[in-house]
Amino acid sequence: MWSASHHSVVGASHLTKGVPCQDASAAGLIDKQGSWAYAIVADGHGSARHFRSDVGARIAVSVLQEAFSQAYNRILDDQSEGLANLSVQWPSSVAQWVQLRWQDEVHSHLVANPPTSDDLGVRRYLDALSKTKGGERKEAAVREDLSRLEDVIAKHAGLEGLQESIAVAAWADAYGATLLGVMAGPAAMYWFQLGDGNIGVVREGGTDYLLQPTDEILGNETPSLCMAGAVEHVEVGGRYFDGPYDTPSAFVVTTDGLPNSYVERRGFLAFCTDVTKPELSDDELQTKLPIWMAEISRQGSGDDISVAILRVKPRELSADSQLSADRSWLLSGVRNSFAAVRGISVARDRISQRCEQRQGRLDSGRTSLL
Amino acid sequence: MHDLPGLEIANRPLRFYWVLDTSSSMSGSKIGTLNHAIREALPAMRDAAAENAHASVEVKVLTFASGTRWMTPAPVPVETFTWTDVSADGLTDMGAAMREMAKELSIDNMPERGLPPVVVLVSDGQPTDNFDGGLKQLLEQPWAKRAVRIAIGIGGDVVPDVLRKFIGHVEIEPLQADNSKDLVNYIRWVSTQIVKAVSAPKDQTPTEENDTPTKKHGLPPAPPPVDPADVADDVVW
Repeated sequence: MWSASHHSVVGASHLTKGVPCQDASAAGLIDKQGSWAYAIVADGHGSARHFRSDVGARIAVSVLQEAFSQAYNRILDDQSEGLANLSVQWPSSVAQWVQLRWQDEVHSHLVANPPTSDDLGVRRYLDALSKTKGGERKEAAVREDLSRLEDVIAKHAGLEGLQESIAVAAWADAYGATLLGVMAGPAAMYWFQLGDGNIGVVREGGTDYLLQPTDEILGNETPSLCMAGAVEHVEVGGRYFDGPYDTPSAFVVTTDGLPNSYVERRGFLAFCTDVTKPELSDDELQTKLPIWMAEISRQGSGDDISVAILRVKPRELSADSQLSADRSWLLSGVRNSFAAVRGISVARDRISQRCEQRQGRLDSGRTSLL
Repeated sequence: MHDLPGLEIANRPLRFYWVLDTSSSMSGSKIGTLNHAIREALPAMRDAAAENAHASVEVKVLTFASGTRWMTPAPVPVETFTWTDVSADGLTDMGAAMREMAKELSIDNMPERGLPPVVVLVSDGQPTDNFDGGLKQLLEQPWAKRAVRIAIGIGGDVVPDVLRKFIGHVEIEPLQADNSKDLVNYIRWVSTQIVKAVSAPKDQTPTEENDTPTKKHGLPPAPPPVDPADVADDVVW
């Protein structure tokens, strides 16, 4: 049912400075049938203080993938019980789970790769600090932290002791990143967003944001996974589709480098519509997307850009198969107590329309509907 | 028309505001030096702006004395911005200037995808109206909170605490210009280094170490040091 694709490009302004891409992305199918899929992007902050934010972004994507995978298992369990409990399948506590899991992974990375004063990223950070007013004091404090860390490493031969001694809080900023993603199934979607970036939802009636942009995200300010109170800034939720005409045909998840390149909001929404058109094959999309993204960065924001896309695969069905599919959809609606009433009503209307169309074609001599 | 998906693409706007005290006490060498400094800094400002092709620097000037006045109704691209000398006469309605900037930096008036604006307040004295009330209105605006706010005090009658309140950052002090050379240097520094820092990609400067939404543009670079030798032959205010 879904096809998934994603790509990240280093920003045009970073290319000239040799700065690596701070973004990360992932998209894929969760089950073999392709009924469930996910699309995720993350944006490392990239400034001198956030000298490992490329790593932080990759960790963030991997953590949200894990969260979606666990949610899928809960959905299967829930459905096998004949239930449809969104708050069980995708609870609000997932926000805290994601941040804690991210911190754990950052800690593991720190232990395996403790920062030293020889690291290029650390040197850039110290150099940048020295150029700010009062920076000498801060630079001295960071050097002291590094020295303390080197002492800890020298003392602890065993990994366990080292893990206990390295405080993530002192170094979490270095890994700071935003994170957003969506998981979609045949009848429902679930989302997670912390920080800037956008999720576009494409439907037959038009394209819109899944979550409208807020004033919290202005002028390069954004909440981040490295903030102690990040959970307060997470948008997490899910809902069932309200009939086939509410069901999205595509999701486009992007980091802020893309929407910041368009003069108007509708320019970005038009991007979402354009890259998810059914006539664009998956192969074409995979080929053209990196080229488009690089050029959009060059002409626009100059920032790194990540895009992760889910598209409903086009169906080539006869009228009978379409009726069968609608009947199946109807039955799944009955099992789903949450959407049953609306599902029955819409499906009945649609079956009725199809029957009329089929009758009309039979009358006119045509025998199949593609 | 272009072959890329979506609609019109452009780099990000960066609004740079001069908020200038043109009260009577600025008459003479102070206003003369200010006019000279801003005009002379323009080529360097354009060069600084050109270093980042992904930001479009736009300039707007608000003067305040007895009331406020915008020199242009809309922001002007730095490439085409020219300086028209201002004259000094009137009171020091700094509070009114803050209220006017509050309107200017309102959500509806600012480009949504803009870079953090830069607001440079230049004054030689004490406000003669309700400065605190005006500043409160200004800082209620999300764009004002995100703006890089710099203050330059001219001469011995300036009230540093007023300028500190405007800046609102414990680690950024007002710049104190006690002579024409200082003022020229500070105007040039703000026109170049601050523009470069704010328009640069995210990977340039450290960010603040508190638990607020991470500010990707970080702290501004340190201002130029004052060389006492430069003061010897200069007018002291």
